[in-house]
Amino acid sequence: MTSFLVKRIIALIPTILGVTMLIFILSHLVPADPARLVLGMNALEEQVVAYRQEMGLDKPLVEQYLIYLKNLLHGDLGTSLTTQRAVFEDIRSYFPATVELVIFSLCFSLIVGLILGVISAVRQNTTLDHLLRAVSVAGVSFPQFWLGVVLLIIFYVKLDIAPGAGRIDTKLMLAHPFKNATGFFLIDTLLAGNIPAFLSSLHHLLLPAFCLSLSPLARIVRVTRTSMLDVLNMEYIAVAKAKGLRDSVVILKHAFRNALNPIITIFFLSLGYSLGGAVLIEKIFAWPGMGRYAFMAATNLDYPAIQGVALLAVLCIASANLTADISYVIANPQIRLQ
Amino acid sequence: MKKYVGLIAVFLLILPALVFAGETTFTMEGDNVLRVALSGALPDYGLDPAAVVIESTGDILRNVYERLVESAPDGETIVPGLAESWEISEDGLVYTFHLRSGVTFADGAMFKAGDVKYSFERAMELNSGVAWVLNDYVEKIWVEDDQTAKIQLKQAFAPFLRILTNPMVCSILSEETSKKHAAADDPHAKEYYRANMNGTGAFKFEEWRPSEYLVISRNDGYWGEKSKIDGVVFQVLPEPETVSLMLRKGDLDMSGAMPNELIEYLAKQEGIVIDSQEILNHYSFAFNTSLKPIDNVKVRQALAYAMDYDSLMQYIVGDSGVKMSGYIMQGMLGFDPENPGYQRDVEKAKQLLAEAGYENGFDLELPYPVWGPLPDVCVLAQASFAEIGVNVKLVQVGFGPFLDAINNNKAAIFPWNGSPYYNDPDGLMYASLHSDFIGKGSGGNIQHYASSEMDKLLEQGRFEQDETTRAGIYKQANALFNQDVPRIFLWQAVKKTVMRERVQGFQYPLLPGFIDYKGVYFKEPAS
Repeated sequence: MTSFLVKRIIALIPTILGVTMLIFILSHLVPADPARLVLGMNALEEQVVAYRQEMGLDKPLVEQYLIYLKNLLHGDLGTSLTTQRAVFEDIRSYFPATVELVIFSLCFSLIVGLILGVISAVRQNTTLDHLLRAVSVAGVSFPQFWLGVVLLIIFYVKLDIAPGAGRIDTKLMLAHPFKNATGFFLIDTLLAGNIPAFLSSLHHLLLPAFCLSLSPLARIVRVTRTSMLDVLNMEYIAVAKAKGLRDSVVILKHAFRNALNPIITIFFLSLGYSLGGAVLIEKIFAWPGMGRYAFMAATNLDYPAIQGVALLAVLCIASANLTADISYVIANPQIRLQ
Repeated sequence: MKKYVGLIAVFLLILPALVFAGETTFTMEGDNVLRVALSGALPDYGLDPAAVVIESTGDILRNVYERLVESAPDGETIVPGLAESWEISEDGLVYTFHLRSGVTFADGAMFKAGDVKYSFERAMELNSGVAWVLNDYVEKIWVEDDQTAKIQLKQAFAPFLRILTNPMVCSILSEETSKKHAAADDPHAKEYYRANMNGTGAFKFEEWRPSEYLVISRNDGYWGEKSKIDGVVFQVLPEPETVSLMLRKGDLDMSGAMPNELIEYLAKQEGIVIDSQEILNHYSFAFNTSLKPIDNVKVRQALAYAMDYDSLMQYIVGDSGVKMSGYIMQGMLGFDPENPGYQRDVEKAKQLLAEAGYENGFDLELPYPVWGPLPDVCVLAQASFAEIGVNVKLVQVGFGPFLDAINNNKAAIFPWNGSPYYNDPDGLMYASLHSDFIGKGSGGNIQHYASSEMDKLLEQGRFEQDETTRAGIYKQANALFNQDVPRIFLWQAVKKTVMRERVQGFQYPLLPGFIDYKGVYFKEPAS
């Protein structure tokens, strides 16, 4: 396992280099000046020139890239042209919010998706199966932007059972503060023993996480159903039934475990989708996550911030793939890592 | 391997706490708090008055920091701020400010004259926003005693006092606090001011969570009349639909920028009122007069006559603006209500084009960013100009490429929007029309307009001390502008703020960035 992990980490290096170079080239191809964007429409040329010099944007492109790489080797992701803060600090500030939202939504997608997928497979071609398949198609089809606003209208305005925007009730946050130890509110509030804040954070997570979960949920339901059906038609399942084993044991212990591989693949692919899909959800629900930061970086052509977001995405996807590979082994010990 | 699993698990559990250790928060109780929506990621650009260029952050700064002089609610009168009184020498070169005593900054540092010298010198060195005007005209700043500060100008710059009301460059900082937070590689304490505010104003800085909210609370140590509200929470809410829902629910008191359709819808909702204010912000089509065929004044006049202003105001602008007839807007010195401006006259437009040698028309490219009503305005312009044979190709671009096209002389005509840094025709006209500012970026003479007559009027207006004479000079400049048409003026903006009924005492200022929250109070508790 250790050598496998080391090999995978080493293999990341050319990927990171390739991504930084590609992002650098693409962002510099855009015919716009980040200094003008940051300083605004009323900026004079002398102010723009001074800003470019201060941020090193007047250097030759190759030199800018090499400086970036050199700093990257020391763990320095550069300074954001927009926030004037270290990109690492920006990411540290925004990333936990997105991770919390994505993990919460994916956990919901996984648990509910597995349950519904298994039910759908076991009750193949019944009314329930057709209903679940229709719901899963709808889940993939609804535009998130529209769904988010509709859910707010129904649950926040009309029924008054969901909170509005943000990660936590601002008034409660100000009246009962807690230390931001990790940036994950569900953890920080529990660590602080602040139950009202924990409940408020959880409450605020529900709607945006539900919106974000629908598409992965639909995919997990479909793949679980298909994979379970493949396994349920295997001879060893017939043998297990013939032996007199209970249905629950046959389905959960024998069939489900062997159906996991494609589900694991879809689940970790959904992680990438969720990270991207979080951008729209974060806008509607005013979630202060990486989506907000990425949008600001892109609109301001903030080169270091764009690089930072891209690198983070690479690391997230690589970690997801690695976790997927390890999960295959755990699910099926006959698989060997190479 | 198995024996290390436990250790690794513990390490992974505490790793986030090691890596992501954050700051503590603080308390502010009660419903007596104004909740304002901020659009976009503002103020993620930071809170340093000497570095901020965004008007909505200026609104926040204006309430935490103070200036030597302030702009009264009417937007025109200048009233005492940290300076109780002032004198201007006869030659208009030396300004003497007599400062208030017993004023403290929020961190307890005493306000003194040295803070004035420090703040302006810092702003001029950092040279952001309107600081370039200070750099051009301030000769020196010195202190006579703790209550007297003097500024000497290089020339008798008439609108100097108005510039001093600008919250984004002319806010007064504490020299003592700045030096406490300065470092060898950060002599201006930029890092401190990026994320903190320490002013003498009616509100003090409490907390800023980037992309979430910023909180200011009542400064009970304020030297003037205390605010009736406990504080203001600025919530970052980038989606206008979400702001609309929260206003309806009563979870917000005041909106930021909103699309007109949503404002019209909200105006019909219970418990909502709309505050409307004409502001010194305008929309226009600017011409690059160095590019053919726009270099011909008759071509520009023809396009000005061809524009369908009535349809623009009726179908696109509605009550979000008033038609402009010249450069100087209502509420500004030199505004001329008699100035006829341009009315649509297709025949006259065709005649002028023929006189210019373009009776068969010509092709024109019109780049525009997706920003507010600009796409609709550009489509209307395309239809209007088509009637006189000018074929407009609309090119939608991102804001960055749009600015680039303007600065690199690739756009003969383009939509433009702006507010002056200070309420004075000099702030509006000098940099945008004087030939010295050609090629000086989008804050300069983007029209490449060179007129010795206009230059002379602008210079006269800049240094004339008598207000009545100044008004006359700028009226002449306005008339010349109409004749030479470096821009087609479209409309002056009407700012609409959506508010809950409980909000009283609020009025949006004439100039964006000058909101004053200390006069706000509530009629009843939040529902």
